[in-house]
Amino acid sequence: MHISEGVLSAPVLAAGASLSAAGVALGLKKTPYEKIPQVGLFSSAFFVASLIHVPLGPTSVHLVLNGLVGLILGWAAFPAILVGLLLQALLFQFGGITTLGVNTFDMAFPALLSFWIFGPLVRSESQRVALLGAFLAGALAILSAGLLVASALSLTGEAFRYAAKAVVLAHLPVMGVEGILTAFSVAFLRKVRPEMLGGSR
Amino acid sequence: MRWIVLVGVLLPAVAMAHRVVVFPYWEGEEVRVEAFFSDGTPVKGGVVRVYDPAGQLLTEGRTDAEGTFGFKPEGKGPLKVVLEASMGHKAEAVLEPEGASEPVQKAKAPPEEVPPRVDLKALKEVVKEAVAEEVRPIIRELARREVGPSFRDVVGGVGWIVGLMGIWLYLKSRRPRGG
Repeated sequence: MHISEGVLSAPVLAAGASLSAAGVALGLKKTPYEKIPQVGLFSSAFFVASLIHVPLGPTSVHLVLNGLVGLILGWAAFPAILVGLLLQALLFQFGGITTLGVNTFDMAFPALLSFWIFGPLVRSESQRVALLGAFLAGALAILSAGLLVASALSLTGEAFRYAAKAVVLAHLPVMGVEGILTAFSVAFLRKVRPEMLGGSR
Repeated sequence: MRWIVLVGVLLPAVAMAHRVVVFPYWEGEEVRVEAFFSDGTPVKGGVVRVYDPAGQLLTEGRTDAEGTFGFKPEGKGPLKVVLEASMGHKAEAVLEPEGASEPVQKAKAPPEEVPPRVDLKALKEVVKEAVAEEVRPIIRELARREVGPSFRDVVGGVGWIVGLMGIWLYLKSRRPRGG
């Protein structure tokens, strides 16, 4: 999911950077004081998740956790993911500095979508609905991130269908793993810290 | 919190992922290129392009199932090797000319001695080949070693996040709360 340096054209990089800058600004503004530690926590989880390799499928893929990050943080997913990606780029050489904007948007926008679409489900009275919502949030956030990566690549020449097929196929196992992981996390949080899922507060 | 414990439990099983590495090296007159993801998985079918210092494309090919690609360059290089894997992964490396392959002529025997019964040049080739064969696993090991993030990187990164969080908390705490 990390697009490397020198792959994308300048306009794509600029567009990604400005979209992400807007998202980060909104995220910083909308985050209440009490929620900042959670942002740090989930930023760390996102940062470390990229090291957890899923040994299935045709190429090398890893966990992203953007669905879970989005469900908990909402708009604050933008700054959380930006910081995670920045440190991954600096310390692990994953992705790159120039592609930071595009990569942030590719992962944080699906996070926001999962917050909008599945947030209400996760807070539902019914445990079953909540778990299903969480699974879908985790899995679909990966799918949409993959499609965004493919679109970014296709804007710079690679044929969309080919790129999308490669990215989505490679991430099918991750979608399953993340769906399950997100469902477990939500089940845990509902029991232990329901206020973290928002809504009732 | 328990999340941190969960992450801590997962960490030992961690394999490193998601960066591609391209590692070219000389094998006699030929150049072998190894390409792999940072968790050690070979990059299958990655596009390898080789350029001379002037930026001229010399050769192009795809890596095999083991993530390797071999070619025989015209000159001695330096060569720039660029790897493009799918999904926006790209890496490049510069291969310096191989110094050791310059013909060394100082071992010429004085004319009055009995000429050696073995062909020195052929012997040298054989030795070189054997050494290359033996050294290959070491080169591969070296290539893989420069790859993954260390535990220190991970701890350092998490520390940075905590620090940034502290700065953010501090900045917000100077304003009236509730925003």
